[in-house]
Amino acid sequence: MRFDKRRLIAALLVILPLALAGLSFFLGRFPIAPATLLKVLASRVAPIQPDWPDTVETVIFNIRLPRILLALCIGAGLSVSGAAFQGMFQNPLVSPDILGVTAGAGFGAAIGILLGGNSLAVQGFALVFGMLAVALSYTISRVYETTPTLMLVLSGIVVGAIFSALLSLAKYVADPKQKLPAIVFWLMGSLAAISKRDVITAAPPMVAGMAGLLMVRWRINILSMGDEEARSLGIRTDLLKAIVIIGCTVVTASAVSVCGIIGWIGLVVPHVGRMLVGPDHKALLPASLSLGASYLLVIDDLARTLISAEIPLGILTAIVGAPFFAYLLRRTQGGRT
Amino acid sequence: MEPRIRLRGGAFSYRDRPIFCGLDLDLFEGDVTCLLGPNGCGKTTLLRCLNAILALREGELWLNGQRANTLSETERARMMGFVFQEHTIQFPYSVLDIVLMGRAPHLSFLASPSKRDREIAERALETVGVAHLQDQRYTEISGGERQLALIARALAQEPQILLLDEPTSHLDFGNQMLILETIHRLVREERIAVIMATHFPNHALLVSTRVLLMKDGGFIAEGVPQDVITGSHLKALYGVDVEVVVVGNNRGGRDRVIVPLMDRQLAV
Repeated sequence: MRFDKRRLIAALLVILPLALAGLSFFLGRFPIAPATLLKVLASRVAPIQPDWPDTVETVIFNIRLPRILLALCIGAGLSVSGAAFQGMFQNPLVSPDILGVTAGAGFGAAIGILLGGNSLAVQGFALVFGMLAVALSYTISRVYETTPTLMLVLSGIVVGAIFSALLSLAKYVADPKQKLPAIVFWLMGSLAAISKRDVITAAPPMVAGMAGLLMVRWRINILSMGDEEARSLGIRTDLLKAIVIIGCTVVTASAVSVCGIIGWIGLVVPHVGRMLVGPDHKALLPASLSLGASYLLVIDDLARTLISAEIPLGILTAIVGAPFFAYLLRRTQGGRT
Repeated sequence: MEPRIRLRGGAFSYRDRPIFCGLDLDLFEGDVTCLLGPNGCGKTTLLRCLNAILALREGELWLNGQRANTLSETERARMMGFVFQEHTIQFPYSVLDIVLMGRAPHLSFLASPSKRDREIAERALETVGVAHLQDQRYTEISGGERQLALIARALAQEPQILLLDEPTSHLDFGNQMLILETIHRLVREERIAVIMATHFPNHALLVSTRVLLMKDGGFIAEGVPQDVITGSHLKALYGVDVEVVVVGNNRGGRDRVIVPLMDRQLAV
């Protein structure tokens, strides 16, 4: 009985993001009929004579497909990173930016915008500074050739504070007519300006990072018992922590660099995952992947269809997500169903 | 017979604060060695050094005849299980999930537990008598049950050596006896060598084959419990006056029991 319930949840978690992705193709100002969509998609693999306008193809392949793919990928990545970090830090209040990656990326993007770089340059700066921030946190926390968890958290706070201050400085000196709004909009997060190229630059590192985290996911259980116990159980905690940190950082920095800062997902989705499949990271990471992908896709669908203008994602993830999470918390009394 | 653990001249310090030095220790198969000593005397630190969670500052440690610093983490974890003091954890893992963690040293880095590992974990739970708890949440069982689950996790490592850090602290009277009986049975049936730190001289008298008295970072006495657990030694260790009483036990023999003498004037 219990086993069947598990199977049902697993099946639903596989179907959910796929179904939502299919539906998302039809959302938007340009209407596309389901039959046309199928024909256009099939035309890529089978010789079908096009009987549709070119615009349809452009909308599907250059606008909606990249956006759907990246929304799935970023949602999944932030959630998997959140789940992995919560386990590693033995703290369900941790989010993927605990080591300062978003603060660093935000500052990097601001620098890119200030220097007048194009979107690729901004993306590059965000990525590099995001990783730099984490490297700095990691270096500061090394004591006696180990990295105690508490030291990591504290140095993450220090590094986050430094980069937040630098970001404020960048905003302060930015030209208030053009560059300041650009920085502010970037920080609110959006997938509106996504192109095919972004999928090619950001998706592979995110997939690789997620794959790395998924491969060590069972061992995150042991890491969550604390350093001493993990080492007593034969785990090389420094190696495993380094793998988790690198995986989470590659995923989060890549995500943030293409879409700006999207908070909240990495903190909350793992909790929803725990309510569904329990705390075992072997099940929790795949569940978070599916739930996070679905969640950000729905949010992004809302962002582009709710009103005629785009709504920044950072706003929606919290406005839609927070009440939902509050409702779940009330119903399950803090995750103890 | 080759000792399971051999320590020669072991010393450890936290920065400039010496915890213990010049310790020699041998542990053989079938031994239950009890480590007695006041709070802060270095018992727990010594156990951690034996488990190589902490590195000795000086001295040599051999496990099953191999020098400990030549062993990898996994090799060491297959020889030796450490039973930590039961504690609360952040995530409500099931008891079986907790015990399965003991299989880590037998799995390759990217693997997760197989059906066989699951069977070994279930058997470990059976061995300590709490198989019925396997699907319960570790956070919702009693302290005694948690301690038994942690012993089961150490057994899932299939070790030849078991280190226990005050396994009977915080437990009620019944659970204390349950843990002691479990340890006694493991040593006889699973041929495991045990070192346990304890605060209860009576527990040492009940289960140990050997006792080490530790004070101020050194052993002040060692030997069989009848010889070592004496009034004068306990006075030296804890500053407490005791009466050693000999009573008949349920096997027709005689046991020694420590009765502390309280200063009645203070206790008014």
